[in-house]
Amino acid sequence: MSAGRAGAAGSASIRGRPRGWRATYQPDRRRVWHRLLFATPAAVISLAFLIAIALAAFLAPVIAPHDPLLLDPAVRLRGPSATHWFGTDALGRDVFSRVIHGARVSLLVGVSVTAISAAAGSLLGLLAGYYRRLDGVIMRAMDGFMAFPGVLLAIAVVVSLGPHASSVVLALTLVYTPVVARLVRSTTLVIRELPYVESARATGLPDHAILWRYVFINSISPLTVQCTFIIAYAILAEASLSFLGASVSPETATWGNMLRDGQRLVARAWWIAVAPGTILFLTVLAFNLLGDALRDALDPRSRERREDAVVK
Amino acid sequence: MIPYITRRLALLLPVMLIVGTVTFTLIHLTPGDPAAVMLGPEATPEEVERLRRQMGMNDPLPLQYASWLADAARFDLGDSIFLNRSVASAIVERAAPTLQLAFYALTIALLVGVPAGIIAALRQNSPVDRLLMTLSIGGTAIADFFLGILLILLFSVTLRWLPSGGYVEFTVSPVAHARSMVLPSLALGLSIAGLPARLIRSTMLDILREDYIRTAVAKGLRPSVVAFRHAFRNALLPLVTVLGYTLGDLLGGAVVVETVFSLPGIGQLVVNSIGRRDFPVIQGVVMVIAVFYLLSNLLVDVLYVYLDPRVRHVRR
Amino acid sequence: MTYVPDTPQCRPATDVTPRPDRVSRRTFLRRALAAAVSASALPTLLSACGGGGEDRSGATAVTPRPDPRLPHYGETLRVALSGEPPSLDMIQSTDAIVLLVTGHMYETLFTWDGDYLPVPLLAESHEVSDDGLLITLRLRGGVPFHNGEVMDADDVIASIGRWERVVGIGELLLGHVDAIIAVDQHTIEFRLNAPYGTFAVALARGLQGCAIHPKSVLDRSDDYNLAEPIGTGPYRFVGWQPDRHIQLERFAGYASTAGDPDGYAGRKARYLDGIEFVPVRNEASRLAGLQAGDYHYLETVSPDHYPTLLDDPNVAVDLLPPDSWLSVVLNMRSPVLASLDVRRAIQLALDHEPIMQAAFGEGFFELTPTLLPGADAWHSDAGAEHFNQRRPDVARELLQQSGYDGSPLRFLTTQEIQQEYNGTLVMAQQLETIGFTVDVQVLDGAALSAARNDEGRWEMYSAWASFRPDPTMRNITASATGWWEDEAKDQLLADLGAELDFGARFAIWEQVQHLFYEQVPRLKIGDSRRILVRSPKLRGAGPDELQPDFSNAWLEG
Repeated sequence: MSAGRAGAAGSASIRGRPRGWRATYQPDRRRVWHRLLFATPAAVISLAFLIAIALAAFLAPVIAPHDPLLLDPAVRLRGPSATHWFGTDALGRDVFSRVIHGARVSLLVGVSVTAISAAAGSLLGLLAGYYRRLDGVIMRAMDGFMAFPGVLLAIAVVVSLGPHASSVVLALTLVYTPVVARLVRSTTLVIRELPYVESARATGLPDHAILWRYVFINSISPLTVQCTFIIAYAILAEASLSFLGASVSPETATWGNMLRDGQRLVARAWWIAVAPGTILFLTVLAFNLLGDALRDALDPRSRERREDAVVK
Repeated sequence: MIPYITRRLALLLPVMLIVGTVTFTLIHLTPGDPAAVMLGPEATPEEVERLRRQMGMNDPLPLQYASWLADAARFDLGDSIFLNRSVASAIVERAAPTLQLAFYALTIALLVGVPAGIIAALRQNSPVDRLLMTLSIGGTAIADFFLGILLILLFSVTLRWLPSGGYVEFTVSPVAHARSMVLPSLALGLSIAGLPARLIRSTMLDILREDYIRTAVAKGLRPSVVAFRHAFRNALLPLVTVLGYTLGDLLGGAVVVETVFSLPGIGQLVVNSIGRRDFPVIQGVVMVIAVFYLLSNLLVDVLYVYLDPRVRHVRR
Repeated sequence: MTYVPDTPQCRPATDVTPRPDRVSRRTFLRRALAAAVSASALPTLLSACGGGGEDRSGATAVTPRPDPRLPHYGETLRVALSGEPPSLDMIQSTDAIVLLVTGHMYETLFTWDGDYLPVPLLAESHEVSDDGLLITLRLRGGVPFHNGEVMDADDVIASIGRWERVVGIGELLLGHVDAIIAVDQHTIEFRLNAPYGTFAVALARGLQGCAIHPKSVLDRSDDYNLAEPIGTGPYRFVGWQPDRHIQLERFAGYASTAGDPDGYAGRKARYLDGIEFVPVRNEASRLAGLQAGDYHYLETVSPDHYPTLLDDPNVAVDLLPPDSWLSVVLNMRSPVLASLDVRRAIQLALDHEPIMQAAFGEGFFELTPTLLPGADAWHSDAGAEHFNQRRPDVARELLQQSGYDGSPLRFLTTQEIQQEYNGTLVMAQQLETIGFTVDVQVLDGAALSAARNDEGRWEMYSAWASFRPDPTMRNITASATGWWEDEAKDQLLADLGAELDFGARFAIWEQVQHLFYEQVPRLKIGDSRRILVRSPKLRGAGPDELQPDFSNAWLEG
């Protein structure tokens, strides 16, 4: 289930078998980019596609031929045409313009959820992994949130706080923060035992400096990879929540809302669902392929271990 | 081992208290009340108020919380407002479709994913490998409700091979049961098949590089025999572990698929209960799923420690 | 028999059931439907309209059919519901699904004939004394309940008592009653303190109708929980597995009234062995299920699907005449809308056609001012001059004069009823163009139904006015929601309830309708023409306005 735990498998295998190599391996930045761009055409295409989507989202008011909220019941449910490239929906709104504007909410939700989960999860994970005394409390709380069925937690939060983007972001952040916290905690557990951290501690460096300079910096690679996947799943989860009627206000142009509107009418007006469904699929696919390639580039050994990519 | 399990079990209590309290708070923050739902769209405020009083909805919240806590401590989940039965029996009734869906979906995921992973590993970096791995990402990237709707359009509406929804118990008619479960299981199973595929591929690649495999090949064993007898068997352990961890997610996550296919499972129960503000049911289902999830995690942890001695001294 | 409205070839249907009394176009069509699908297997009719089953263009190809496929016994009907009924106790809910399911299990003292006039069902007759203060109700004898008991006056009195304590209309009726006395086993006297003209109407089939249960069951029940789902209906309860199904089976001991089926009245043949109600919340799944043959009848379907369904040989789709309407309730206690000028500005501003287009689609609505569409006897154009004025310029001016300060109109709606939601968005857009600030709040059904009882929470909400055969049933006009408080209106409604003569009642109702348009407590946007989607195998389903009755339905082939 898409709104479930991104990285459940990743964190599980990390919990099972801590991987010290991540801490010690320092990739050469230029080689990383080189590898990313030239060794994996899929990554290049994905990146280009995502940049295009991001640009479209940013420039939506300029690019979109119509106002995405403008209702024109006289032309409702019209198929694709020269004026309405992707047709119109049940309220006569332009589907193409709504798809473009929809990118804004989807990306906004995806990026905010990821940024907040990454920040909160990293902090909690660092503290839990470094200070043994905090470990129990923090990880039990994280267990508590992970024990909630993800979708249900998200629905409950959105229904009680109202259909705003902020409720959706909060709901999904609650779902993904424990994932990040577990990942960062497990790398921290390994790194804190490494000789150079020991020696840094011996020189009297304060804890926060050690945590930041050694522990966190060395967690960035796996974290970046994980974040790419979280974006993908957050976008997909937002769509699932919309489908269940528990996301941003339904008149807002989002891919999830359009899919919900469109699935009802899929036999009558397939374009309403197919247009946003396809773009959603491609975007999530692109983030996944990019994450894959990114990990391969950051860690050549992982070229084989792609299991982290696919988790629902 | 026993002290470890005891300690982990004891830790369940505070976690469950967190889960219960958060759920209680969320539920009562939610606008809307079951009395208004019960009375329907044309009820008057007076009628609603009368029913609210009858239901005890006007009691102060701390009182309601205390009484919930007292009941929960005695493992009493209360009665549903709408379903005319206890929460526990409502959950028991719905458990079968959800567990079956999860089981079938997992089976499909393994039947598709494991061979794909083996083939990809044996043909590492070939076009076949790339295709399979891209497909496995593609499976996860498609929204499962959209996949479900496409399946209904193709197999139910166009081809008329399979029913579009509904549920038949296995004991009533095994054939009808199978027919009713095929599409939902496919929708859920195909969307998670990428997980075993990629996991099997990567562990097999690791193992194929191990010395004992090289020895086996050097001894003159056929590569296919080596692959299956040695590599694949050893790749199963991490697979079982990871699947154990995802089982809880799979159960909670069948919600969307149950909605598309109208399967009367746990997911439908809780989504519908949220819709009609059936507070005792929401609270009860969340608690039960949480316990299930925590126990399955515990079981996997224990199994892992038991099966893989290398981990024992690394963990905790 | 496929019902194709407005097709001349089908019109001769009415020749078979000639009715001398007033026949408006709508009654005419409805009667065509009722006659066409009513059980009595009229060969002339069937041949007149062709067998719509596989020949969906029966309207053009008139082929006499020697074998009209007579009704037969057997099979279980599968009905897909849009959700779970909140209760199986008819009096607890105004939700239409409850009436659809329980209408087959329980019966009321009165029901409706094809013209929506109340006729006895469990009652045999009722007599009103000349001064209107004594009503003598005679019950039919030998009517068994599902549990084997036989209905008598005590059961009826106990059922009415419980109904009156829970349901608003019951209270209203019993407000006029000083005493209810069982004269003998089958005779009950109602001693009134004031005449009450709508006695039979109040006790007839309807949302929260007064279902008759055995006293022995009610003794074990309280006001909000019915101990056992037992009534006298043609089908009896077998089992309920929430979110899975509700199963009913033919009640072998059912005591049917005589006479040909007419509306909800007349003989109930009970051809079907059973009825199974299956909740399928997702509309696309519901449709796919019908197309795949899993269901025979869908409870609600958006007319947006009409064109696609017409092409499907596995689906029969009927377009019904208007029977309910889309409306907006205004909160008269809100500081903004307390001003009549502001309410009038809203009334003036709206252009109803695009709203209805967005809500129902072209061809699936009508714009009439009558508040009781479908109940032709009550059709009135009173207040028409205020209906659908489309004068945004006048509205803008009036709004400016009214001193409206730009505070937002909180407009509540729910996506659970797609038509209301669609219409609301168009209305909001129209109101904003004349200078209102509109805050559309989309809630789920549960939140909306709670929020609208809180006068400080909203200015407007979208609402559905369902079919009513009589204006005293359920309050379109009462002060309940929206808090329309007006003495003249209250007096008129009291007179409407007391008056016995139809002509006098109609004159009173026209005045009420006029006040409705003058004072703007609620806006009528337009009448919806619903589509009825079923399997072509399903024949003989009864009228649809107060939820279908499958007591005379059968499945072909």
